[in-house]
Amino acid sequence: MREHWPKIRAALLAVVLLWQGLLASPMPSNIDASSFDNPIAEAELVRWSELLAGLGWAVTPHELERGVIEHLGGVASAKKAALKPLKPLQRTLGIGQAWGLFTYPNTYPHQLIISVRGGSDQRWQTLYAALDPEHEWHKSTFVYRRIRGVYDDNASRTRPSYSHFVDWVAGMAFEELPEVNEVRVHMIRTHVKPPGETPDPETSIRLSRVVRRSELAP
Amino acid sequence: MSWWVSLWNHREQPTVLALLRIGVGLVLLVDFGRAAWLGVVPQLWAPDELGGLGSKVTAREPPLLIYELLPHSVDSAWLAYGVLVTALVCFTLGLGTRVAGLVALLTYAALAKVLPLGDRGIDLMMRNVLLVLSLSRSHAAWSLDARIRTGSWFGDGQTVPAWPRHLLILQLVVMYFLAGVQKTALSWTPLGGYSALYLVLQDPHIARFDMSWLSGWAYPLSQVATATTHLFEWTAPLTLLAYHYRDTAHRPGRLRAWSQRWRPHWWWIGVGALLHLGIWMTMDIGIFPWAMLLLYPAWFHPDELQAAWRKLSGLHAAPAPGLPEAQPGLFERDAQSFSDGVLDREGLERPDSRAVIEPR
Repeated sequence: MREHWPKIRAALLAVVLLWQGLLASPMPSNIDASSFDNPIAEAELVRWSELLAGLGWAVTPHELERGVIEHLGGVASAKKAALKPLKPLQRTLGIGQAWGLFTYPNTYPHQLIISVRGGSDQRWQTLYAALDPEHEWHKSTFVYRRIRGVYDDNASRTRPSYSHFVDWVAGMAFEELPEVNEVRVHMIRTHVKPPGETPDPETSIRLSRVVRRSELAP
Repeated sequence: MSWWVSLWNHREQPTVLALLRIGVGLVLLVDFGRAAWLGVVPQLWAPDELGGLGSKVTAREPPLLIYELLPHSVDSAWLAYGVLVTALVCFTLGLGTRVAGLVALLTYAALAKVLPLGDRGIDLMMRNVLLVLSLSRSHAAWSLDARIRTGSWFGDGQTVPAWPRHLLILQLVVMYFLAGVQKTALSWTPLGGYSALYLVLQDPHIARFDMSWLSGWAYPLSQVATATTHLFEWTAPLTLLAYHYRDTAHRPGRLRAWSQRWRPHWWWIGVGALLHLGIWMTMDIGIFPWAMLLLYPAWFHPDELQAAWRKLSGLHAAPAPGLPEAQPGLFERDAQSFSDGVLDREGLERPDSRAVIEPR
């Protein structure tokens, strides 16, 4: 056994590399219309269709989206089927090869704002605003990457965890600030364009939630 | 087939693997320690009905391992967290290293499933590395295991299999290259004006401080940084070519000779280090830059680090802590190509070493 170990090890490594190579292959495991259902992907489709038109291939963003789904859909299914037997092991070990780092820079970034009101003053007072040195209530908690992941990822696709996040933030504020009766959590969305392009000054308030003290169980 | 077997059959001193083990352990302890310091362990890993931020934690399909094994309570979240931190401490100290590493890996993975939004790309990388290091002999040096087994913190100087380090090099190359390939947004290209990093740094949830001033005189700098980042990532596989040339330094060829002379992969690694330092200075994204930098020793053969240590410390006669003095024949085939890093008993370069790297 011992003298055969180098060969066995080399064979095992070949299997691992094949498995991880398939995971790493830049083919999506899942692609459908919802993959393009966000402003960043829509803007990219427009830019790519303009680029392709410049190269002599006239295609609308919608046609481009349909073509991508049609052609990559089969590849995605094949990849999914090939990886299925090892899925439980991958899940248990929590390993993988998904390395999409800033694939699409977010041209519609959000800013988390937390404000409160209560007592005689009925105006909203800001406690925390991302990147605002004037309002840094519990900043170290909100910038902790594991917490940031919760509210930041909810900005692009809202999930139940956003409500949990809001309730938690409200609970902290009510506990620390007895005069506060209401907590509001919302995001301000801006549209960033590179210098040289016409700026888009429009901002929008999104994901606004207000929690009253009476709504939270003691 | 035989070349494949011999490719994974190299041996080397365990010092780089030990460095990686300690670095990975420490950076994870800092990161998980921060969760306890901020008091957010229940929010991150407890069931949602008990204050956790995850959704349907106890009703997921397939069920989550932690809440299959443990009662649905905040105490269970703390228990899993405690097991993870204890395993990481043991892994870092090198006590029952392999078992500790695997326990840490399994708990880390189980916790990640509770709140997937809190689990980032760097966590994936750390788990991949934990698995490889747990299967390696990283505990053969600078560990309690080595101390118990050999009586010395530095082990007995025996070589260990080098495949885990080689696998980590491949992992880093794959990560960088795929990160580059998948950057399909036009803003990463000249067609989008290389505006990607400018856009990223305007995100209030990413930027370390307000960087709206980048739209002025500094914008071209961000464009250069964007182009450099993209080029750096796309060229990652070339490092493997440089390692191949290093490993076959005895063969002829102009490109091989050029590679041996100028060490392009060292320049590439330097750019990578600067890139991560730049990320740390401008973006507040947690452990990512430091965790990546702590993996960088993997790029170097233990002999190279040994030589660097000697050059830096000026102690030409003394070996680095934990390393025996390099001896001819000790490092087998690998050592031949680290010609200007391999020293003889007196700490001098081998007489024939220069011939290996001179262009032919």
